[in-house]
Amino acid sequence: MLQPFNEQSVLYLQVAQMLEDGILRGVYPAEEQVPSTNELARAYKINPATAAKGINLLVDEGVLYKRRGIGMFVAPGAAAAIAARRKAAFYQDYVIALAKEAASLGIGAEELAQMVRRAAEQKED
Amino acid sequence: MTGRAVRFLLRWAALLLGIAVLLALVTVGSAALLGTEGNFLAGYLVAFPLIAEVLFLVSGSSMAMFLMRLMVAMSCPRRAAWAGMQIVTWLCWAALLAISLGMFRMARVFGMEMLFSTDAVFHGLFLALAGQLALPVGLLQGRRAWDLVIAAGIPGIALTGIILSWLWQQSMLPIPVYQGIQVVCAGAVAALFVAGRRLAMRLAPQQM
Amino acid sequence: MNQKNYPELRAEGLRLRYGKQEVLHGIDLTLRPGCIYGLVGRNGAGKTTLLSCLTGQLAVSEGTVMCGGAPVWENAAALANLCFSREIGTTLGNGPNNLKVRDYLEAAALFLPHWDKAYAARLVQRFGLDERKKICKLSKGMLSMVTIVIALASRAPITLLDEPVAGLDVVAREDFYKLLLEDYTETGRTFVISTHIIEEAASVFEEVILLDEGRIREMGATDALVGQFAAVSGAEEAVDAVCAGHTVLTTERLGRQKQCVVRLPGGPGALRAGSQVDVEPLTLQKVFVTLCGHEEKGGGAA
Repeated sequence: MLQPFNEQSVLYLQVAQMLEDGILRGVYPAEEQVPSTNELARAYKINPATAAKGINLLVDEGVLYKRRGIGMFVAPGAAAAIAARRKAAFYQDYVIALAKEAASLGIGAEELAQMVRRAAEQKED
Repeated sequence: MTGRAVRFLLRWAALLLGIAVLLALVTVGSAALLGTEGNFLAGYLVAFPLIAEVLFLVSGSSMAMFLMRLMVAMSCPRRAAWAGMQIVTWLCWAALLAISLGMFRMARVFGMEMLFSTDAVFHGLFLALAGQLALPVGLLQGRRAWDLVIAAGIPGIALTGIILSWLWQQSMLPIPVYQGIQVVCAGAVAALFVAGRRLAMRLAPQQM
Repeated sequence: MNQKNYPELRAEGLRLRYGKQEVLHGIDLTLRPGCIYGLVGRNGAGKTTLLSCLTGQLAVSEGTVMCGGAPVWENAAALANLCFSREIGTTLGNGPNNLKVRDYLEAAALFLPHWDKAYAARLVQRFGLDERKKICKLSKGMLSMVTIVIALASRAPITLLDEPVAGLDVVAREDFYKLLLEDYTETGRTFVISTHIIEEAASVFEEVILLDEGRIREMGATDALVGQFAAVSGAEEAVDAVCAGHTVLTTERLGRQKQCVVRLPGGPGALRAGSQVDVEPLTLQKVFVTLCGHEEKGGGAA
């Protein structure tokens, strides 16, 4: 579904990603209502159809569900589901780019692994 | 839609008529208060129709130029805008003619010498001519060649009207000529009526 | 969106000639209800002319323009659905435009059947417009604002705006997009907005129409159109290898580096891009310049 190159320019995906970030960070807990397509459109100055596309993507993924007449709500377990999916996509989205950049700089696999470990351990502190 | 066009244009027409009425009142008032001897304002009592024609033509063409375009730009069908313009034009014609003839009557009351023809038909026709000229003049203004025609033609016609009127009053004009002029005038009114509609139907505003 | 049975506006085989010269060549266009369209094109492409034809302001030489199935020309019922808001002239004929802002608003109130007086008043206040001021005395920005007030307060089911932000500074432009979206989310009416300032407006357009020298070059959903293009950059040989067999639209060289813009109807996923090249998406503005730039005429098929 996602393009295997920089999809950051595609607006509706950015909308979806932004909502997912919010869910992941706990800004939108389970069963909480997320902003409507109109609210998103007005706030970010984008066409409501684009906002709707982003929301529909999340509905398809089971992250959001619709309550008739009220709006879109965060599905239970959405945060966990998002985290799991992103973890699975982590390699594709981040690691490959990291390796490519390292390769172009002449950083070997060993050295790269050491750098990654150092950064990971620092974060845990 | 024609009704709306009429409403829209009446507001501006009221301005024109207001000026005419004001002028009439000032003229009559001055004659009543200061007498007619050496009173140049009172002179307008006899010359009023000529002023009326000029006023009619100038304001009418202004209205055509500004307001016809605006109406069409606001999605009013051209034929409705044109029809509204015609209705308001003829209403103004009637009012101005009435005032003109009223001024002639006042002039007689004050015992003034009539320099120009007081014939209602003659003035009615020339006033109608001024009214029907307004639309083509207004719509064609801004186009080089037409500006020259207008600049030369209008004073030409006005002068012709003045001279003829004076000649008639001084009994220097044979009746057939006088009547012939009126027929030509009537023909011109009809032709301009048609020409005005053609121009209006081709109106394509370049801006609002 | 909340369609409310708005009509569609459709042009078929639309041609416009000024004397011998044809300015619009066989335009076929359907504007569906409840969509915000962007009409982009270079100066002289024919945007204003097209919008004028669509709204019965200009008679077409050939073809038809229909709104809700009825011809638009001189048809009050069809015209009632339309509002064409365009540049207000500061001169008329030989003289300055001595009409006042108020006169325009009153004309709009009288002739536009869906006019929302309260909304107009709110907008006038928001823009800080003085209704008593003469048009010839207004600044470029204020003139644009009057145009915008008329367009928005018209509440016409199909509203067409010709370069509404041309005279506005960036803050005012942002305000316009905000107002536009507020109105759109409330009414769901059709908007067609022609503009030069493409990129900041791109996110507002659901569909985009690219007009080039009197023809519609492209028309469709903004993201679908933009998604077909990619810029491939890197070393010359690598780029050539990746782009082989695909439609290359433009090429730029800097030393031994090369950047090619390619078009793939199925999206850039079809590119076998290795680590040697960077594949980047294009913005709508870049797509427009690529398609309508005409810098290297006689290079390949247009």
